[in-house]
Amino acid sequence: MIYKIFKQTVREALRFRYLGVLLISLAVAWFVFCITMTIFFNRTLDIKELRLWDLRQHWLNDPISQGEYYYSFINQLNPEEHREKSWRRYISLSFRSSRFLFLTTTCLLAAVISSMMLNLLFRREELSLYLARPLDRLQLFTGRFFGIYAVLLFFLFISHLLTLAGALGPQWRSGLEISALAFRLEAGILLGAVALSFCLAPTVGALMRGAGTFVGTVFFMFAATQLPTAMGGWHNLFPYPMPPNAPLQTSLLVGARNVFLLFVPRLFASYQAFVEILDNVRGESALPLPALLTINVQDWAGNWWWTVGTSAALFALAAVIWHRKEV
Amino acid sequence: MDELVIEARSLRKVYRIWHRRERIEALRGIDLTVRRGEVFGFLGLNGAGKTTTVKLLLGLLRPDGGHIRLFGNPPGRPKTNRLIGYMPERSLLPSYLRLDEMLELFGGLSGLSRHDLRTAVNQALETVNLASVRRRTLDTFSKGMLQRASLAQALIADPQLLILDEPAIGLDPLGRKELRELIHRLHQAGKTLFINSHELEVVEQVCNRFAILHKGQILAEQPMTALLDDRYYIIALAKPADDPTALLTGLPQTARYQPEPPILTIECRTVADLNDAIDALRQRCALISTVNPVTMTLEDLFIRFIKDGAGEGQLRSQAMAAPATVH
Repeated sequence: MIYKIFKQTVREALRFRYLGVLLISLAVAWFVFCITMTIFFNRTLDIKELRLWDLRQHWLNDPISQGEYYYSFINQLNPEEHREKSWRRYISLSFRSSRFLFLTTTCLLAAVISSMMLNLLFRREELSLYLARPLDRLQLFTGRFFGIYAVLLFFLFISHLLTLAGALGPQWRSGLEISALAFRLEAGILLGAVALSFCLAPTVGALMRGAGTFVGTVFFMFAATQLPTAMGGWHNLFPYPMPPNAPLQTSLLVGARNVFLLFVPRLFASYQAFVEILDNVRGESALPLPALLTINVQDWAGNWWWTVGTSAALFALAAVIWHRKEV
Repeated sequence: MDELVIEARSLRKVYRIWHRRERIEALRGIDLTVRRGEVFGFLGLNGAGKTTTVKLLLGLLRPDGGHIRLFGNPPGRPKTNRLIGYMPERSLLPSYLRLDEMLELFGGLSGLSRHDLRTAVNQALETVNLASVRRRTLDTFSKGMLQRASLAQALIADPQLLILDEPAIGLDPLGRKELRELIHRLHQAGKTLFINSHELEVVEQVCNRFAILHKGQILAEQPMTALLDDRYYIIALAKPADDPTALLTGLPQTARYQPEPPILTIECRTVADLNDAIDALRQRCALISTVNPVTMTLEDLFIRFIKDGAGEGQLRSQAMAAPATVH
C-alpha cells in the first residue's frame, strides 16, 4: 500500500515540472558561466592533485586582493603571473559560487519547493479522498513523504551533475568524489528540511497559507540554532571572531543570513555550541571554540550520522503530528 | 432495514481560531440516525455545518463532544472505511490521469486485488455510463462527466454506504435526471445513501428521509412522505378586501392576505378546517373565486424552518406553525 501511495505521489510531484526546471535552469546557467570562463582562460581545473579542504584553506589564507590584481594588470610586469593569478581567482570564484549554489540555493529551493509541494499535495480536500479509504494514516504519511523526497532528490542529483560538468569541464571525473560527498550531505539536509516542513505544515500552514510552511521552517531553524550561539556571543564565551561563512554566528544578523545555508547539520552544530558553552562556563573546555563552531563542524566525519539522526527524529515527530492531523 | 448504519449522538464540533481568539461552534450537539437501505438527505444553508458533519462521519475531523458509530464502529478506521464510498463536493481527482487509471488507483487503495480491480472498474464505468471515455484523461472532461467520474470512484469498492457531498452541483437538467436514476438504482440495490445537499429538488425526488441543519442544530428530521400531510390552500378573492384586518379575524393565525392580486393563503390540516375558514370568509362577505390545494414542497418546508428556526433550533417536524409564502 505504501508503494502505491509512493508511486502516485512521485507521479503527482513530477507534475510540478516548473520547480525542477527552476533548479535545472540555475545549474544550466552555472554550466554556461563556467564554460565561458574556461574558454576565456583556456584552462580547466585539475582537482585530482588537491583536496577540497586544502583548496579552501589555501583560499582563506591567501586571498588575492583586487589591488594586487590591478597592479599586475596595469603594469604588465609579469603576464604569466597575472594569468596564473587570474586563473586562481577564477577557481576561487568558481568554488565559492559553486558552494553558494550548492548550499544556499539548494537549501532555499528545497524549503520553497517542499513547502509548495506540501501545500499542493496536502490540501485538505485531496487528503480527504485518501483518508476516506481503508488506509492507515502512517502508511499515507510514509508514502507521501518519501514520494516527495524522491522527486526532490532527483532534481538535486540532476543539478549536481550539471554543476559538476560545468565547473570542471573535461576533468569532471576528478570531482566525482567531492561531488558525491556534497550530494550525500545535501540529501541528508533535504530529508530534514522536508521532515520539518511536514511538521510545520499543519500548524503554521493555517496561519500563513502558502508561505506558512516555508516561513515557519526558516523561523524554526533560526530559533533553534542561531539564538543560543548569539547568546553565547553576548556573554563573551567566544574569544575569536567567527568566519563569515561559519554555520553559527554570534551576530544575529549574519546568523539570519546563514540560516538559509544549511538546515539539519545546524542542529548538530547547535548541540555542539551548547556543549561548548557549558564546558566554557565550567572552565573545562580544552578545545578552541572556533574550531568546533566554524565550517569544520560541517566537514566533521560524523556529521552525516548526526544529519541522518536528527532527520530521522524530525521524521518521527512529523509522523506523529500528521497521525493526529484533521483535514 | 432497521440496522443503524450511521448513529451520531450529541455531536459537537468547535473550531478555534486561536490567533483571533475566536470560537466557531460548527455543530451544537446533533443527533443523527440513518438506517440500512435509506436514502437520507442532509439539508442546510452554506455554513450550516453539513460538511463538518460529513468530515466527522469520515473521521477526517474529531468531535469535541458526543460520539459517532458507522456500522457499529468508530469512524476513520480502515475497517469502517472499507464499507464507505465518498464523493466529495468538488472534483478532487488527479486531472492528469485517464479515467480507468484513476479508478484503478482508488480501487487499489481500497484494497482490491488486481483481478477484482478490472471487474470493479468496468462495473463502475457501466454504472455511471462513462465506459466509452475510459481512455480519456480527466482534464478533458466536462463538469457533469467529472461528477460522474467522482461518483464512480466512490462506487469502485462496492461500498455499503455512500456519502455524497453535493452530488448534483453543476449538473445540467439531463445530468440531474441521470443522477436521480442512478441513485434510484443504487437504492434498489440495497445501498444506503447519505446525500449532503442544498439542491432541494434533487433531495425531494430521491430521498426517503431528510434532516435540516441550521447553525449547527437540527431543526427537522422526518420522512419525505410527511410532506404530503402538510398542505395549504390558496383562496383567490374576486375583489380586494376593504379591511384586510377584519377579513383575517376568526381565521387560523397562520392565514396571510395578499392584496394584489387578492389572495388568501390558509394552512388547514383537515377539510373541516377549510370549510370553517370559508364560512368565516363568507360571513365577512368575501367573494371567493377559486380554492386551490397546494402540497408543501421541500423548498417551502426548508425556507419555513430556516426562517422560523433561526436562533431557536428547537423545532421538530410537528412544528408547522406558519404557512409558506405565496409564490
